[in-house]
Amino acid sequence: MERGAGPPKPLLDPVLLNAISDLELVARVTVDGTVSGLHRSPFHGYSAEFSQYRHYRPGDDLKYIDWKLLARTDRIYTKQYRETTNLAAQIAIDASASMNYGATGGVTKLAYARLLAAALAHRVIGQGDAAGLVVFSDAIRQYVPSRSGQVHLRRLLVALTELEASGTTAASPALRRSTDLLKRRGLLILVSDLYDEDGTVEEELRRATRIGHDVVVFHVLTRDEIEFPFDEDLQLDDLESGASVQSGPAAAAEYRREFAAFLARWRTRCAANGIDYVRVTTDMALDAALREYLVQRSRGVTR
Amino acid sequence: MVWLQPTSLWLAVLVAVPIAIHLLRTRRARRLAFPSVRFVRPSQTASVRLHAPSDLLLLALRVAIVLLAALACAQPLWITPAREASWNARTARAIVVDTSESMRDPSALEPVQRIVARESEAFVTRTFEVATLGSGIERAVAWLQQAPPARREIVVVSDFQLGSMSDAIAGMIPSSVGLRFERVARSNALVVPPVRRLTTADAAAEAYAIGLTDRGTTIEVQRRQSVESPGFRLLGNAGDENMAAAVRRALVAAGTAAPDPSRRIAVRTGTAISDGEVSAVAGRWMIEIIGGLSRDAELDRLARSITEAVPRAEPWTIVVRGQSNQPVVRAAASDAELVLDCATPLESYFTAAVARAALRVAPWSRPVTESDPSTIPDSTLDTLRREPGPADTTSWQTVEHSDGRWFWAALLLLLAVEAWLRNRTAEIKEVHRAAA
Repeated sequence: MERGAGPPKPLLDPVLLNAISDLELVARVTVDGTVSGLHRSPFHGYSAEFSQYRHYRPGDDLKYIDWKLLARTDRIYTKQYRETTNLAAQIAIDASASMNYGATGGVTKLAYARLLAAALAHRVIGQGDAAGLVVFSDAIRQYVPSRSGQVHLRRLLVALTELEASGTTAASPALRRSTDLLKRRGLLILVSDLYDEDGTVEEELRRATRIGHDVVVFHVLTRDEIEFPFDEDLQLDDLESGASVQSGPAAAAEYRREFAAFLARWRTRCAANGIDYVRVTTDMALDAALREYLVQRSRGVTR
Repeated sequence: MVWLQPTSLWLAVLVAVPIAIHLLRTRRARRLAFPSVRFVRPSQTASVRLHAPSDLLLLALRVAIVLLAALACAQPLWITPAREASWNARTARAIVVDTSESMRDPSALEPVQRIVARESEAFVTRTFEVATLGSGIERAVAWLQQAPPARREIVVVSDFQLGSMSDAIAGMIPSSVGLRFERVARSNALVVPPVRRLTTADAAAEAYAIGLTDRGTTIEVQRRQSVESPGFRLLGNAGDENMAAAVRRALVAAGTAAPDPSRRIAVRTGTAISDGEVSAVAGRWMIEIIGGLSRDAELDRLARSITEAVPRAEPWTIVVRGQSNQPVVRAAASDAELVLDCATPLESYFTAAVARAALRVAPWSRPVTESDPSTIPDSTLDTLRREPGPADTTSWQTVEHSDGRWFWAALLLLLAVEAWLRNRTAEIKEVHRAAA
């Protein structure tokens, strides 16, 4: 390390990762760095669950014969398993204008969401499951159906690479679409800053959980939005609505209160509906962002 | 109040600078595109804070500082009664010194210096040495017009020869400027010019006495008995007195110049003065006479035919040589008298020529050219004399110092207050930020 270069950045520093143009590499590095050490994949993949025994019929696959039972009973029985269910994940990523905000020296929320979504897609497909993508702002801008395979993964990564932030936020249509596209029990992942707080978003998330999907919400924010570190006179222009507000140092305290209440509301909503809620900031290393969630998920305590 | 540099008042337009900065500063809050603006309550105090009383006070201070600087640069001047009184208490004096021919007499130098030294003790003075009083007074008037406010006066130092001062010249002087005369030497009494020609006691002499008064010119011819010009002797052997007188009368008839009585000359032949009674020539005038004789062309021509000789002996100095280069005229000093010893007898033409040549070259201690004795009488000068008037307050443009220093002092004070207030305001803002 060069002298005077400052403390070394973590390997999965979002700024460093964002600088790498090969999103597949980034995703692989992220996932490898995140899930190493986990004893079990939290994402349940090929599940061959034992269902029952039945008498052997000619033509049955010999590998399903329970030889121990034959030895005990001198009868030939075949194990039957429940239908194998691959995981299907649908990643809904918010590409509204508010996602284009980034703290000075950091990455934008959209860039962070892109890295996060890429890592998640890589992990899901890497373990043989399917992943899809829905990009939305005020409407669904792009849809990639849930598929498995490396070719499909690259297609997803290309779509993520071409993301651009614009427009206002209307998440509920995208969530409904994603939910409907998950034909079997799946995983709905919402990556957004959740500034769309009308009741429809919560309603769609609740609907997804009622259907049986696993829902996880990655609430992506910047440190500035949480802490409002501005102690000067500012004219703030809203990134989506364009509204302009004069602000001064005295507004900081009230902002922080309001924003903390906003965060608390989303945490409460998710907890009340059995939705996994993970708040990440753009200055968090990606492995830290993912590891926390994945470990908690594998223990089942994220609710 | 008046302004010595009124064009500097234009600097007052610079008050627009702090005003513009104040206005621009209120509108140039940093703009920031932010995603969560809806959580920000519009800060009324933000806009109000930018127009906080302390900021307005700072603006007023800065405007006042710029104004004071502009006013100070314009060099203000308060013409108060006290200031006018101080101006009237002092005098600006121009001294015009006559340096014409009549004033170049060394005897006039010391009186002039004494008068100039005395008159120079004023608020401000300047001396003008001129050959004509008119040009000097003209320059003096011009200088007084540029002098700082004070009572103004012209003092003329001269012998006031007739025509040097007149009503026309005095008319060049403004009525508020005083005029005074200081006379040097001279009086206008009747003067008899000294006799310039050799005289004898037995001849009548005429003298013209010229007097110039304000009533006119008087010329009086005075005939009186002549007196023998002192300072010249013709000496021969015993018994040559008649011959000496005859030679003297011949010299008088020839219009020979009279000697300066302070520089006596004796022409002798024979043994009238012994060697023991003389000493070497001394004094510049003796040497000048000897030099003049040795260069006299007529004397040299006459000497070539002289065969006589005078003995060579100390301390005599040989002046003229004869036919065979022998000394025919020698000189020495005797009791402050120049003695010229001739080889030729008293009745010789050469001896008379030597006497005449010596008298011709003898330098007068006084200039030969007589200075004009006519002067302006005091009564005439009194009609021109006047006292200086009060100081001209409209001439404040020539004031040497303005009252701008008070404005600069006030400006410095306001700068200190502005700096203190600015620091105080910053501290208060910092406390507010920390509390927020």
